[in-house]
Amino acid sequence: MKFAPFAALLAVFAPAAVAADAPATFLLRTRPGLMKYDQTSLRVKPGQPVEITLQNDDQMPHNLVILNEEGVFMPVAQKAWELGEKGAARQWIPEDPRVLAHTPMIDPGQSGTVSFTAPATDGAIDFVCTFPGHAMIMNGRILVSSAPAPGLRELTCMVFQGSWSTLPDFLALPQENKVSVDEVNDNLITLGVTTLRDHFGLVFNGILDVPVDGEYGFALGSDDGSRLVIDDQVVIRHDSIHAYSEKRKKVKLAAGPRRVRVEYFEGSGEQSLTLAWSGPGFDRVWLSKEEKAPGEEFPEIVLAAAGGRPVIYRGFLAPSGGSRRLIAVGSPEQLHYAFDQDQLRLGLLWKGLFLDAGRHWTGRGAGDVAPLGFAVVERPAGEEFALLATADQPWPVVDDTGRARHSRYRGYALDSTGTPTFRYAVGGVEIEDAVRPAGRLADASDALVRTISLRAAGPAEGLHFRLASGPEAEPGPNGSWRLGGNLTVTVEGGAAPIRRGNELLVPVALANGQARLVVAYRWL
Amino acid sequence: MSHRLVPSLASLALCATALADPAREEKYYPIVPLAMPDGAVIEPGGIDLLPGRRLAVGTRRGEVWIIDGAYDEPAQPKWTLFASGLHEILGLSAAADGSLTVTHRPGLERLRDTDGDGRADQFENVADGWGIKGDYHEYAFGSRPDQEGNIWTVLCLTGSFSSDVPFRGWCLRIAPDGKIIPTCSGVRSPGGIGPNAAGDMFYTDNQGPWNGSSSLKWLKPGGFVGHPDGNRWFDLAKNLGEAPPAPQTKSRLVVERQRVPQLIPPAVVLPHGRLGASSSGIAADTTDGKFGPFAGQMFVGDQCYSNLSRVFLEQVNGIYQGAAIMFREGFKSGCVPLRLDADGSMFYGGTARGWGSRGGQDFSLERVRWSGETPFEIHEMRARPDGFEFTFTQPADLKSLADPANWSAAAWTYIYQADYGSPEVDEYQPKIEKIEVAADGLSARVRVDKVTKGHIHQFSLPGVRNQAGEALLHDSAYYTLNEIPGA
Repeated sequence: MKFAPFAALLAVFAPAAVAADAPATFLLRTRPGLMKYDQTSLRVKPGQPVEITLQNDDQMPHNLVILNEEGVFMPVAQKAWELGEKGAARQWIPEDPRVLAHTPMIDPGQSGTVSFTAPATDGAIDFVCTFPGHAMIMNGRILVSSAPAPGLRELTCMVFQGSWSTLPDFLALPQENKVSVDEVNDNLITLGVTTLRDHFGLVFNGILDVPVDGEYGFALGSDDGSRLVIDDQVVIRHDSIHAYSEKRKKVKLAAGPRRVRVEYFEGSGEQSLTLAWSGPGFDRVWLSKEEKAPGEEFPEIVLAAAGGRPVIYRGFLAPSGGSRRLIAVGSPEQLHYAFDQDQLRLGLLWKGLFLDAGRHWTGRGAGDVAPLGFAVVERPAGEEFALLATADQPWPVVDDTGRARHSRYRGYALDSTGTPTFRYAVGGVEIEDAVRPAGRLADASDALVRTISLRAAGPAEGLHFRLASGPEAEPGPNGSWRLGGNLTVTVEGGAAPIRRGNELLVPVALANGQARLVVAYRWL
Repeated sequence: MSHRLVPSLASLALCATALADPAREEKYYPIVPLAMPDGAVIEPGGIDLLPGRRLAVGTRRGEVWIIDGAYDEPAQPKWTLFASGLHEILGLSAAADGSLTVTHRPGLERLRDTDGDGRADQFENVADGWGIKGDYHEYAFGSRPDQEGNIWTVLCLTGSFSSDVPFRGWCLRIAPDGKIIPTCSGVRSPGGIGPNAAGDMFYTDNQGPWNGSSSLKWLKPGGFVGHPDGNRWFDLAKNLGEAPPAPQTKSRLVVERQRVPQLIPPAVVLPHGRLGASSSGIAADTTDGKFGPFAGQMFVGDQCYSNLSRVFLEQVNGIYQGAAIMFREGFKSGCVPLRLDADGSMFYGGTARGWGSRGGQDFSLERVRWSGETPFEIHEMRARPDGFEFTFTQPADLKSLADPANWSAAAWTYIYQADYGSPEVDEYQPKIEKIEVAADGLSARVRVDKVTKGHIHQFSLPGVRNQAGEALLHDSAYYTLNEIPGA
């Protein structure tokens, strides 16, 4: 009984020391092909038990070493490297008092957990992968802080109803559009403030206490449109009808209370709204109830035609129709296309911005790059020219490695403006194929015009050009054909197109061993 | 009479690193950075030489740059963009007709400037017949043409792990007319390709599955060089006959060589954690003495340690093997392409992107020349039935060379397995039984109690001096003993 009152005294005077913190648990992943942890800034409370599981999604082994100081990950890693040929057997963990806890080396696809107790006082500690050569990129910080995680306060929400395609001026809306004004529980932005799921808008107002002067990153994600305003300055515009995506922006903020407003609207279909911020000493604190995975962050390296000359890009693109050799050409007129070296066809058409190579030119460059603009048209897979022995011979399909069966790719030549003419052959027919914009983006008649010259020394019996395949091709005015919902084509040269199932085939007869097709692709 | 036991492996490791000193190396092989245009991101993947002392550099972002003034003293590089839009160039070869052939991810392509405006306007497909799944790791490295005009390519496995599409994990020769000649299977994750001085082709492979350590491997036509995943494509390689039997994992190369007759062991292992961690660019010294005393030998880069090792090769029982010795450290980024001009100018292309490299820079182009002063180095190391014979670049002090206290030896091998890499295993310390020193101090014949086929044999000579009292510039040599002569 001697100790009971003492314990009771402890409980009264030092509740924090006796009350057990729930453990902080984290799942850290290595980002495939990037040699990085997916989170580099964690937050725990002093004295809190911590458990971090490392899931190794990368293609080489990694470890997770927790240090008991900040700013020492490089010297500790270098000590690990000096283990030399002994390093592997020691999991690349050096004898060093700064090592607090660690996992062993974890093979690709495996995971491992490290448990430790956070230091007893506020501060920060490093974590790092000590495998040789990794520390410069694979490191992070654990913030040890007794302060609560920074978030919004005094959050209210105005609910509106209405059908918009871009953010309206909410405060100017008539009374019949206003639904309610409420305080928001938990001070977390959420679509749960209303039971409406379509045709509504929200305006959140709250205060964000910025801890210190500095640069802060905001990530606003929504379906459909949204806008982030801080102290009456629009920080992120993410307007219009679109599927969920996140936009990020960094801004300098002064310490103190800042007024934050988030405006949002939903048309119909899916709806989503997320907001997170990061700043000195903290990474991605959610200001919304809904959280989305951070996704991948690459610096933008937007490619564009320069000096009046097209830009060419041959990294892996998507959608690709299965091709791994698309040759993308970005025109100064902002009408772009990709020629397919694997399938000898015109593969993709799009308008607006060309491509962002950031994903491919950062780190190991894993994944595919998508057209950055809009009005993307995916052309049907497979070769566009074939020699059909009979009228009902099936059109060739790609072989089981995704390549054209008959057509052979020869290369391309650039003219004095830098515009490529692609060369390929099918049977004895040599083909030159050049695409040029007609008009510019936003012209009523913007189109890509494709001039195809064919030559053969001998006969080219059964030579056909496949104008369309797949979605219904409907005849339109002036000999045009409407393909799917988004494109019309016209073709000059060759005989009248023949419908065969859902194919539209143009018979091509050579005169004096030559022929020419001019195909115009117009966006609707 | 047996001599003192050699020091422990731990202190050997210390010895191996203690004298690797860029400041000393600078005296013999100074490094000159070649400045790049402001703001440009130029990550070299391939380098070749053009007439008129010009350089061509192909890059990971798919550009080809021509450089004037790279040979000048001081270097005054002027960069001109020749071509862009290619896909990760990792091989570049200039032809006499002015065309440049690039090896990039999709295939081989010949670039020509036919209108004389300094920019390529013809991009001719030479060969694009290998499979690509769409993974960033599907690198294609290409050599310059061999004596028959064929370009040798090595194709990294998908993800560096598997061969799901045709010819990943293969060496293919591409004939001038574009015909594909399957040459070797067993490739895993190459870092570079190039011939030795005799014109036989080699490539570097990286530590990983079936590769205990990074190494320099001989591409003997018809050979299987270690990683079995590409063997499923032998149907496409009728010229090579039957696929080799699959190796067994958790084994040793010496054991599997008996079961798999096509298996060619690595010619020279660059021991992991000692000389580097990721072997890459290859250059043979055909300078006939203009790059110092190592004519006929080879240099191998490391993309992680940003250094160069030197390799001496010999053939025993028809198999290439030899010694690797540290050559030069202190480059500013990780080596990928390496090119040594017959006039003695070496160009080192550095890129750290994706894997991290020592040196501190994201990318670099650096030039190395011989200062004219000969360093005191182990020159050649040859296998003998009961030990090794060493030669030196300068006469050694006879007493220090003959003293066994100044020598130490260690031997180990690696597990040949499907797991990633391997620790050093089956280690022991060979006892040095006799050192016979030539009267001119230029060679020493060392006999040990036991040499082991398939082991790396390390010899460190930290106490040996030349006649001026200087220590060796690099005191450790690592010999890959694939075959024991006369055994």
